[in-house]
Amino acid sequence: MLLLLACPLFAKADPSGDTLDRILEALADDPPSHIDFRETREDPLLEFPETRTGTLVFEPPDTLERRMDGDGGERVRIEGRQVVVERRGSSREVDLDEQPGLAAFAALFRSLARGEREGLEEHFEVETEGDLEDWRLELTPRDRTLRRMILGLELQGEGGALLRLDTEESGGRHSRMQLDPRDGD
Amino acid sequence: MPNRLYLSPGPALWLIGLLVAAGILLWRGELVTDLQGFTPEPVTETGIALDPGGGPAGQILLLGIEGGSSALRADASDHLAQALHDHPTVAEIRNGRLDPDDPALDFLLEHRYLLSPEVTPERFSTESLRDQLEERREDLGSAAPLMPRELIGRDPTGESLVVLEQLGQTGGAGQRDRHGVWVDPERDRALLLLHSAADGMDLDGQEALLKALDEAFAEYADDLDLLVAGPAVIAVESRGRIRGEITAFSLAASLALATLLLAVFRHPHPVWLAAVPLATGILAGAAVVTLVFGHLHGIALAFGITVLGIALDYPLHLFAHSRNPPSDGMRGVARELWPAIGLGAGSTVLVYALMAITGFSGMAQLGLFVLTGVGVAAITTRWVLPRLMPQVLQRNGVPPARLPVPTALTQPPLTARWILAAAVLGALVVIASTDPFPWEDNLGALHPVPQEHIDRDRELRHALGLPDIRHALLITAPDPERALQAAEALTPGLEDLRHQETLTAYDHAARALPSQALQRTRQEALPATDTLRERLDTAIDGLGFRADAFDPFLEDVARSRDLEPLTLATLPDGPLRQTTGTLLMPGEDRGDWMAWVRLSGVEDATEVRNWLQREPLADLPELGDVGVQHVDFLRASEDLVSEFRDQALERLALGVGAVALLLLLVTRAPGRSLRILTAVGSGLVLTVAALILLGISLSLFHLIALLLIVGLCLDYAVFFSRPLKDLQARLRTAASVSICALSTVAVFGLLALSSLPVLRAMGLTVVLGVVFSFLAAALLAQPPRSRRTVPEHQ
Repeated sequence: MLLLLACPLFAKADPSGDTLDRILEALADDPPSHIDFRETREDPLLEFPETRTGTLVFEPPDTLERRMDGDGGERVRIEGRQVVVERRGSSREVDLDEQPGLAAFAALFRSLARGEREGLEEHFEVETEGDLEDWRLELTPRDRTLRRMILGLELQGEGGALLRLDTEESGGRHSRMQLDPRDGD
Repeated sequence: MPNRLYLSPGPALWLIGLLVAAGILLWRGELVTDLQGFTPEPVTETGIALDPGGGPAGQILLLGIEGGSSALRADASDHLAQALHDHPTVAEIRNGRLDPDDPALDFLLEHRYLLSPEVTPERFSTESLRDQLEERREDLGSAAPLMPRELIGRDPTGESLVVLEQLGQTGGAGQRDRHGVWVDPERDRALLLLHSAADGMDLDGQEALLKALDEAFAEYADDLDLLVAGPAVIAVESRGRIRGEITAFSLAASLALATLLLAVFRHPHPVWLAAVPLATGILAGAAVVTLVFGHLHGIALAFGITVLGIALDYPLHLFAHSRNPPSDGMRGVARELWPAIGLGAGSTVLVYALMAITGFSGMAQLGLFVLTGVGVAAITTRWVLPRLMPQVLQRNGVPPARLPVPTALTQPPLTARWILAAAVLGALVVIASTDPFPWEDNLGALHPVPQEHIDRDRELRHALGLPDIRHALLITAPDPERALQAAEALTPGLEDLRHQETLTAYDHAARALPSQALQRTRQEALPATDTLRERLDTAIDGLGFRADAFDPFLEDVARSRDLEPLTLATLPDGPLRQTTGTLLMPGEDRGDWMAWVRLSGVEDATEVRNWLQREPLADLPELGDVGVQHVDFLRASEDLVSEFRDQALERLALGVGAVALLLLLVTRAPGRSLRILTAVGSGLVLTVAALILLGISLSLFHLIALLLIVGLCLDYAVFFSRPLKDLQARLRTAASVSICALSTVAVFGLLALSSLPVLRAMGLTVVLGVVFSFLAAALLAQPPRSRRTVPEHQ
């Protein structure tokens, strides 16, 4: 486990780290406050893949909201450790720590919006491919429990724009989010 | 008669006795160090017995990891859980991490339809299934699903979550942080729950476990702190502290005593000779107690040795009176002093004999230990000690003690007696007018563990959802099944009490492990496979699920209908068994079973008692042999203390009465008997009044000190009240008793400096008692028949 702590040091020595630094810097440079997305989920329990649209909203310093479009679409607002989930007009409060998947998602987006490499690497092993113009990040959760649910994440982008997020879940579940950043309104 | 005894080879018999006693101790000796049986357990401020019996509650240790980052704490928590998982001293360790590979979790999952209280026929109706499936459909696309997605196909109604949550609430569990380990509400500590393999009162076993914990934590010790709390920690720590203090105290006291004796007698021999009767008495007392009780209680031994301090007086009297010995040297001195020593020792033995026949094992052991020790020490002083002295000393006696005794003591002016009388009268007024009498029934106040540790214990307990409970219901039943049924039958009543806000929460074993009867009812509530499939096909319509998505659910329900209901005996090791085991256990005797219902947040237990008085189980004939009672741990502990105290006081009173008779019979001098008793009474009354005036609450330990004072004062008064020939003899008596009193003050004065409240209480009380007893005995002394100074043994 000590290796784990030493990881950021090794990562700095890694030449690919420079690309990662540049990507994070580009992402954090004037990040969009709203990102529209289209999510396609495949699930062995479902007859057909389903596609839905929604918006991610980031309010500095650390509030994140994920709204799904449509009537009764789920709205998840993460403020610090507090999570409010609204579904079909009813709302419930949860602790972020009780939702490891959501916690990882929140940590990912906060780190990206702030360009915090340390925060990112605290939660994930990061592999970088490509260059700043066309990059891919492969993230593997460090936490054992989380790894049970989320096998890995793949981010793809160009410069300071994150364009796609693929989530590989256990049990053959897969989600692909196509992202379309727009400026704040 | 004395001649025949005198001719008997005292030292030879003494040696044989020592060997026999040592043999008994080697052969059968067992020093019991638990606190049970001697005093009630320590209680926290809120009154919870930190260990309500040596049972499963005593086996729980609470661990907290502080400092560093949350990731490092989680790491250390995982490491501890892993390192100690298979350690022989550990029955179970949990850090909140739900290991998906843990067979215990599979077991819960497999039995979820028997364990979940949600299982009713309505739960599996088409409408209910439809509602559940709609929720699950949402979960599939949700960022914060109610149900982990991987469980949906197998458990669409979410019973596994219900079972886990219920178990968590019953067995104690903290919140988890994002690393998946338990943390406290402030999230600056990782928490673990450990069940020891050793019994809570097996302090050696617990000590080994604490050591193993420290070793396992060593690699993190630089960056993090490990906090350990629990009844066993407090017990082990008190033992360590008491041992440490006692060792230091014994050394200091021995040194002080040796210095004092050297200064007074200016000769090395009295120093070691003085220890002979005491040591013999301790050995004999320990051997006799071991023979009678089969073991020796560590606390009885410690207090016993303290009280045996009287035995030190006997050789000192001998040395102080040995100037110009009769023709047969020291043996003659011993013979001359025997009536006084024998009378003092006999009275003391009588007082303790009454203590020895009480129901309290600890007090009985103490009584037997002291009476044996005092008797043996007196006999050793009379028949053995003179023969052990070097020839020169035997013949010529010990050099005269150099101890200036003020004439006010040897020839007290009459006014001094009036002052004493006035003081005693004043003391009586103080005692009588103190209302309520300052008894300290809360032993926690005297417990040698710092308050911060008790606070820490409580803090970790709360964080892990194991609040200390003052109030509980105790269910006694002929078998576990009926105990669980009774707990289930009480649940509606408990719910009512919760709604009335008489209590905030309750907890019992049936919440984790339902009775077999209830499990069968739940099995009957599960629909047959074909029925369930039909309903499911209707409910699933239009939600987009695949037709075979819930086949695992159908299989699980079908299998659950045929499962053998779980019992305490068939539970595998794991959280379910541990949780149940702390709340449901075999009774100590008669083969019955006890189940605890823990009640939290009870301010006033009257409503609880009223409810029990209405006999909530009366309508259930099958639970006819089941008893339910309300237990207030704080009251129980205080009652125990005050019962102990009342018994001790009663015995003390009886003992003093018996001593009065003995004195009358032996001395046949009512006047002298009265003097002795008045001196003893005055000493006690003055000591108690002084303690009250100092604002000290009297506890058990003060009482034990008072018992010692009775013995000391008897000794002083018997000596001072001897009809003496002349002033010279009187001077010698005063010197002799002064040496005794000084040595006791030196020893217990050191004890009064201890950092442990128990030892401090005893030290202070004895010092006060010695001073007052000595003064009372001296002032009430019989004036010598002649004021002339005449040569002795003419």
